[in-house]
Amino acid sequence: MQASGGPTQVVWDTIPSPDTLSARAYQGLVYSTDIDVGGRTWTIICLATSSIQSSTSKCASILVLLVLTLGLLADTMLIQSSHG
Amino acid sequence: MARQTRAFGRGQARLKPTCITACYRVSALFIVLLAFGVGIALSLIFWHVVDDQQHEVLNGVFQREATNRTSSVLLETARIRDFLIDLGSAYMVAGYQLQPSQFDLFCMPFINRSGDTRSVSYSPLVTLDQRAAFEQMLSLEENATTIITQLTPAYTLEPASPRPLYLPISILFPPSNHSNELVGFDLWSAGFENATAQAAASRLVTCSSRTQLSNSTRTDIVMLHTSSLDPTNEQYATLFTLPIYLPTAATLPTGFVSAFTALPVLVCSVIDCSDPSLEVFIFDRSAPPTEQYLFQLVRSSLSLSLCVPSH
Repeated sequence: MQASGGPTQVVWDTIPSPDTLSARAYQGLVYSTDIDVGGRTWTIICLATSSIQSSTSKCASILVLLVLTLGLLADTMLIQSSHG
Repeated sequence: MARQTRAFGRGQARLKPTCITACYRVSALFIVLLAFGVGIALSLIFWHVVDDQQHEVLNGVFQREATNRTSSVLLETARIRDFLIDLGSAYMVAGYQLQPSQFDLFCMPFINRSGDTRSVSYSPLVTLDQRAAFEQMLSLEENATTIITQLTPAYTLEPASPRPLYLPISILFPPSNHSNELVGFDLWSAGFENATAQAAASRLVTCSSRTQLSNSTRTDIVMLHTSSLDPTNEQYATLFTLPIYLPTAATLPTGFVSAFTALPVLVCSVIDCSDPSLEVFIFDRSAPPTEQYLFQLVRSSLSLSLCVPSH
């Protein structure tokens, strides 16, 4: 296996190892399958990029941040009321 | 609020903390800190739960998208194979080599529907003895002097040198400005011998390995598998070929029907190559180690690779 190119572009002569692919893929999401094409075996590899983040996951992240903020706010109010 | 002892003197109130008051304050602070710690812990747990959930959702989306893309490529190659089988059947039913007009009529619907396959051709087996007659027939059909040509190391065309057998293109569809130059082109001079030999042995549609038809200075021969409008500037062609056995020739095939394509063109005709969510790589596992690379969809520029390996 031989790789070249910049940090985001890579050209492999041979099929890279699973570790290499996982390291390159977003959250290690790799899909690999072999298909028979006219007597030859092609390996198709798909790697996830950060663009695959769905709107659902973004909503979840926002929800988590909201809960954290509300928790801290409630704690602050509790501290203030205890000193009052 | 803790109980307090209040002393009143001269109209001013003064707090006088006692032991009980201090104990209440300590316990209140303890409760606040405990609530703070529990809040942080719950938040972290919640964060991990949501993160896991998010990863599962992401994995589901990824698996679905990747499967769809792979299936699309597989279906497209199957479509090319089925077309060549149908074309081969047409030769068998006719019992003779199709005329160019018949060939064009048969191929037109497939080419019109297809965004990937650039050219479909018929190439008869021509012996050295038959060469002169074959070239004369081609010249009559093309209304121009047409000879059997071969690919040079500089990826230009030159008259083919004498050899026992040729596999020149006699019919090429769709027609283009370069058709006259490409008709007569000996496929075996470009390195498609293995694919045709394998096809002849199996009598099935066979795919070639990665085969270079041009270099950085594009030649006319690149028109076989791509077009001047393609942004990929692809130098490598993939050939699907099927032998034709007419009743008159029992042992050797009469010729081969072939479909030329460039992998970036094929892949991007069936999947959305402008979608940045996935990187797609295709390797030929049947090829030698240094020739396995076929295609990649580059993430950074979202443009197609030139299909040129790094060495």
